[in-house]
Amino acid sequence: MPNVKKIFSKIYDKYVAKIYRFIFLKVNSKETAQDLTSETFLRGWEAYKKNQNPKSNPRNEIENPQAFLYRIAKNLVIDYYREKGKIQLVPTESNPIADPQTNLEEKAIQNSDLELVKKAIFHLKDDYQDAVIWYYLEGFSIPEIAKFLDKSEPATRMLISRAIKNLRQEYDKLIQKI
Amino acid sequence: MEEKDLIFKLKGLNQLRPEKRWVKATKREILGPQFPIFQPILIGFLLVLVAVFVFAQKSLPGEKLYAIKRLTEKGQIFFVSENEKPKMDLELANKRFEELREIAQSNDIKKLAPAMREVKEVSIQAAKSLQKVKKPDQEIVDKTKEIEKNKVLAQKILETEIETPELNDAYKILTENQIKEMEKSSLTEKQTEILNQAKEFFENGDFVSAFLKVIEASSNP
Repeated sequence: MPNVKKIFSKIYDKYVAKIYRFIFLKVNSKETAQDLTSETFLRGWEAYKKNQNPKSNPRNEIENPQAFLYRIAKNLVIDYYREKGKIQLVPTESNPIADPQTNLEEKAIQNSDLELVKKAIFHLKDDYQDAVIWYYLEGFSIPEIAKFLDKSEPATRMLISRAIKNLRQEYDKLIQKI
Repeated sequence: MEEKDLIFKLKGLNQLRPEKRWVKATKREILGPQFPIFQPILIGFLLVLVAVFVFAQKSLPGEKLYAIKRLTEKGQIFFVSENEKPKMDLELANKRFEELREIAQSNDIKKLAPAMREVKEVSIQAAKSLQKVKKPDQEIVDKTKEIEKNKVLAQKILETEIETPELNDAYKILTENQIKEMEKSSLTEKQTEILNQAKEFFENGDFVSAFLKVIEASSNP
């Protein structure tokens, strides 16, 4: 058991930032991202423990811990929006009705390039978000993403291509609003 | 904006990272406390500490670990109630006499002087505690007997008198009070006989024997 803990501890260290980033870009809230990331690893740990015990689980289901954690995270985000009845929109805190005199600095930060890209990702539909984050941000290969999404490689390639086009459109829209 | 510029900016989102404190706290919450590097060191350290403690309890005056033994005893005294303190001090005095006897038997001359110093020190402490005893119980009597036995043995081996004047004085006062108490009550023939023996010891300056006789008289109906 201590050995299993040690292995999962390494998995945690390796993927916690990626999973957090993946969730954060989808929920656009630090607190929610923290909660869901924590839940992802908790469920991951429970499953990992079971999986290491051949008596309770003879099939080795967690061959790829990274893909496994992304799957949990993805499901948790879906559940989060379903349970709360939330539509994936930019929350008001990201679009404050600011006093132009006192919040110039804040406005500059909000409208910085990175912030705009973040907002643009947030406006994308779920599959496009996954494709953009995994391919461009995390640098996964097309076969890897195809596996994550359970799609064929050509379909994944097509998805990525559409996703970046949509992202560009969303980004341009946001630029025009400024 | 060109697609390649957008991709370049997109990669900049890699800066998004969870707070380090949160990462650590969450890991601890999920996996429990972890000391991956320190655990073996900590266990090793604790084992060494236990081994040192155990060896220290068998050490004799003049040895390196003896200070730890004395420190442990002083710690124990700290937690003992006022009523129990005289018994504890007599117990420690007895231990010192035992150590002195052991050193004398092994003829370890180097340890003799420190052992004598320890005997002197605990005897003074035991004498102070004994002065507070009003009614000595069986445990005090037993410990007095043990001290006397070890003292006599050590004296025999060393062929010299071990003087503990403070302890002697404490027994003198205690015995004097006990004799007075006994004289106030009506005594059987047997009790009177034993009390007279106690008085004889007392007059000869053997206060420990006198003390033991008085106690014998009081418990002998």
